[in-house]
Amino acid sequence: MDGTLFLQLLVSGLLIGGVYALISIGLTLIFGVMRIVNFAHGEFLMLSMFAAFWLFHFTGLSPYLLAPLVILLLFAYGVAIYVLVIRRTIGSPMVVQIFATVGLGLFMQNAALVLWSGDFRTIQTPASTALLRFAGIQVSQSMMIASLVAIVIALILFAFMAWTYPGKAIRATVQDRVGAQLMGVNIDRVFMMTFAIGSALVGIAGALLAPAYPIFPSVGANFGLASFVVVVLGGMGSMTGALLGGFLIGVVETFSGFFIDAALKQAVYFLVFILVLVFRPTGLLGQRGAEEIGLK
Amino acid sequence: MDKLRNIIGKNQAQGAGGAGAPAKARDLRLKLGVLAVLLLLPILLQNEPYYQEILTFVFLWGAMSGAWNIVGGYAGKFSLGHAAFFGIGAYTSGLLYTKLGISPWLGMFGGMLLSVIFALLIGVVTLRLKGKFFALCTIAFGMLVEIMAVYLRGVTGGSEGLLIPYEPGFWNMTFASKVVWAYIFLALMLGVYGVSRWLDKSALGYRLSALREDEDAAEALGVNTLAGKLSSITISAAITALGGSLFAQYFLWLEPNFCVSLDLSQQFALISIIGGMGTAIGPLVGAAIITPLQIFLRAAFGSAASGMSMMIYGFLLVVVVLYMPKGIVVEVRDRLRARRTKAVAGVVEREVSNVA
Amino acid sequence: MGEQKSGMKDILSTHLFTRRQILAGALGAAASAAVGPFFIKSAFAASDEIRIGTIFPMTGNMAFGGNEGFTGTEIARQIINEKGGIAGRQITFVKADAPDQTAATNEMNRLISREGVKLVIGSFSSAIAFTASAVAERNRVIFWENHGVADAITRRGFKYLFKSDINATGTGGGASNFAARYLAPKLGVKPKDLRVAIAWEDGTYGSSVGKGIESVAIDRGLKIVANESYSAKTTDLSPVILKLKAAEPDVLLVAGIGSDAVLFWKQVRDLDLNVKACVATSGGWGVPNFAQNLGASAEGIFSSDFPTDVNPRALTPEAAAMQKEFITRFEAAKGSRPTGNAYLAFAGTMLLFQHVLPKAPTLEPEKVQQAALSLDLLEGSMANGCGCKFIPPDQEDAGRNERAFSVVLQWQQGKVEVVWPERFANRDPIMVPLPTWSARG
Repeated sequence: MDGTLFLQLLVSGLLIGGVYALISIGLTLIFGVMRIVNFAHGEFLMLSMFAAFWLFHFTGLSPYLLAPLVILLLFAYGVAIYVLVIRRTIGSPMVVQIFATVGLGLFMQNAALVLWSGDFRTIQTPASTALLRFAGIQVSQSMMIASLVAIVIALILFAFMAWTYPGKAIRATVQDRVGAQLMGVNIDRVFMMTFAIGSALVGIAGALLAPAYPIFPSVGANFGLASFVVVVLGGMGSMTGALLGGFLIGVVETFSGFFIDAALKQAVYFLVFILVLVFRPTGLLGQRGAEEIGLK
Repeated sequence: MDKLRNIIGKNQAQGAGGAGAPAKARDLRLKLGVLAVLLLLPILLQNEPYYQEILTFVFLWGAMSGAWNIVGGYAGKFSLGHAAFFGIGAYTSGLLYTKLGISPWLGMFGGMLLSVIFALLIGVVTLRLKGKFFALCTIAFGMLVEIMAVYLRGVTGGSEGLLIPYEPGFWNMTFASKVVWAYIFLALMLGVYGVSRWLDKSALGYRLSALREDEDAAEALGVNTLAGKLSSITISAAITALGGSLFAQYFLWLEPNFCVSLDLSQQFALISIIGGMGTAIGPLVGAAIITPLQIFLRAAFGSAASGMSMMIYGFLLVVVVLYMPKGIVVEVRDRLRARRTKAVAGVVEREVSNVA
Repeated sequence: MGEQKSGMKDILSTHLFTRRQILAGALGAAASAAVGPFFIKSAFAASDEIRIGTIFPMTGNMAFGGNEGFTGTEIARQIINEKGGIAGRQITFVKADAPDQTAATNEMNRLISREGVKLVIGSFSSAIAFTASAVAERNRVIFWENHGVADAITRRGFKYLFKSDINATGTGGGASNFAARYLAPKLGVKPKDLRVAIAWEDGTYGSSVGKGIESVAIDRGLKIVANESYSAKTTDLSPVILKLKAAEPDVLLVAGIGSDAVLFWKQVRDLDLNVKACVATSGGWGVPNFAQNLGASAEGIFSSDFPTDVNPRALTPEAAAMQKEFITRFEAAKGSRPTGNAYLAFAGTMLLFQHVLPKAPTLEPEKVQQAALSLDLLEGSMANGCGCKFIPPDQEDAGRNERAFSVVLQWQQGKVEVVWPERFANRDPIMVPLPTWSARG
């Protein structure tokens, strides 16, 4: 095969991988801190894409300018869902932890269907069709932006965790909930902030993906599944892991789709997912705590 | 002290249904009464195919949720990939029948066998996984089976579906009368109930509840958790596959997007959870509530707003899980028990003060 | 010991309670079932009306198409009723909503047993058509399908099923036909030298249509250089597009269902796949939403599709008048031009009301069947340009209208226009070959 095609495949894989990474960062943050797997994660993404769509629809502004608004909306939504649902699931039996968010996802997806019907919509701006050309290949500008933002966010979050007080409080909570509480960390607030930030991160993803993809009520389902795979591969709770996992899954998907069969590319990454769960449940860069706390 | 024990003993005999023997008799009468009604219903509804079909689906989904409950409720392993077993059962007997002319009565054992093998694979592979990770892994297994059922269209017919010819006859397991199907699914549901009741009392059942409560502790105490896990998932898989085979002959058209879908897997779990996990009766009550509710909600809201019924369903699930996580049956039972204990306590108090 | 005793008691009380509940519930259900029949609004209630059931996915993911189909059906009813009905009797519809297959059987049972209808019109989706017609057949009720395309619908030897539209082999094959008969000469190559790449989504719609594309492409001797399937739910189509690109096709033949069509064409553009023509096959490629979402890049795409706004010259005077009436009413109802799908509903239902039911106004299934089988309408007789002759019960494909056909549409200035075959065309095909993406800017 010729070099250009190989490069194009690799770049396509990295781009969709960047999208997966961007979507997964919020999920991995929430899991890492709270030990909650948000099964409604894909629906959060759907909601933020719709938020971006409606803001665009009514203002006509560039979705990139509207991103801060989407982020704010999703942050507020995260706080609301934490208060109404998530708070009650912490420390509850496993059935509650899993099925509260499964039910939430079902509710959100169908509420979207009721409110906005099953038709798909897209955002038509010059930005959504712009292309970048280099080395004989071309890529979609909106996908490129999404991937770059994923990297930037992962780095910012990494710095936030390492050097700021709230970040330290979160890390302390992860390492020892009781100890952190004794040291005066308000666990409930840490959890609320984490969930809201995780949700706001999905807001960024939604705002950046809205110009690139058709938007409809079940759009989150497949992105959601992909983000579970990414987070498990990268290691639940690891920001850099999500980044690495996202790019890896993107490349694996694209290459297997090209060389095996496009109809089987999902099957390939589910297989990878199972193998990781079985042989290395902490993932590539998972926290050591994950296998002790997370696997229960 | 002896006297006190005597009194309590006496009151327990009385409390547990005012003198043991009549209580038992009443319990038996109730059991027989319910059975009689269940047996009569399909006939009563003979001229009402709409209600009869709802009843048939209540039996089918009750049975399937009951099967899920064996691994989800009894062993505490939340599978979100059970549709894979259902699909394996449906496709195996359906393909053996349409391609090789093998009677579904035999084919269904083939489906059960394949399903058990697949369950053992999942069981061994997910050995160390707990809680959410087990659930995630079963989603992946379910998706794999769905993708393969679509992909291997040369065998399964893919998304174009597998048509099973309508040629009524006993050996074809194809019946012109819907009443027969109502009874077949009723029998399946009663069978699942029987297995669950047996689990309530058997050593395996105790092993599973130990596993569910605390796997590490159970292991430390010498409970063979591996055997428990594998036997619960294989029993559950076999029954689910059987349900799939029967469904194939009832519906006569199979399509991966329906009978191997993640939605279906969720449905099995949700019915059981809403009804009451870990109890024999819970999934059946769940199905008796959820199935008609879904159909009636659709009829009521259907043309008014799309998605309304599933939205309500999702909302209901969140509320039940958060506020009565043990399910409707257990919740109601606990409340009732609390009231009864209070009443018994009152009697004991009085008698104790009499003695004094 | 005491603990064990109280445990026993718990178990007893549990079951005492739950069983009593169930018993009460079950008795209630039995009672309502026994009394139920007295409350049925049955067909006898209004014998001066002709009651007909309709079943469409009015909700769920197929709601858009289902509602469109129902509107077309409803316009046919209004026109007939305004003209005095059938043999002096007005037609009323009993509506049912079937978002999925199990819903379809539930609702068919309701229509037949609770509402007492003897004829049901449907259903937009092949999946719904499969299950709904099976219930109808077993209850000796006529099922009149105007939309479902899967070939297998009419391969079950049903006696009471009539399907007025073309099947998947016809729609998919239409694309290959067009490539062989129009595109190849236009591009100055022999069909055997025309490099075609086929892509289809692997759901019920795409896989049956994709098969049609492939089989007719082989029949016409086209050179198939790639044949790829993908899931319509996928998040990324770049591996598919790059594979097609590597095969260097002249023409793309595609079957897509919904939003995947938009993603497909967007990525064709992003990845700079240049072809001389793209022929899609209805589904997601022919609906207004497609061009709205893609803007100028949709220009020039062909779609082998259900006949839409065919040239009135090709219609009989009655059919042309009907077409005009339909367009006016549809625009009044929906504010847009009718799509091919709406035409199918209207034309198929008018066929039933004008040519079949007058001969069988009692809806006696055998009479309807006879009347339908006696039809012999030439091309141009229906509002969408089709003719009608149903294949009789003892032959393969019983109940299928063998005079239904597909036409080729093209996106021109944001609208779909009929461009082929010539006698139905309103416009000439343009943009053959398609300019490259870099030339389009």
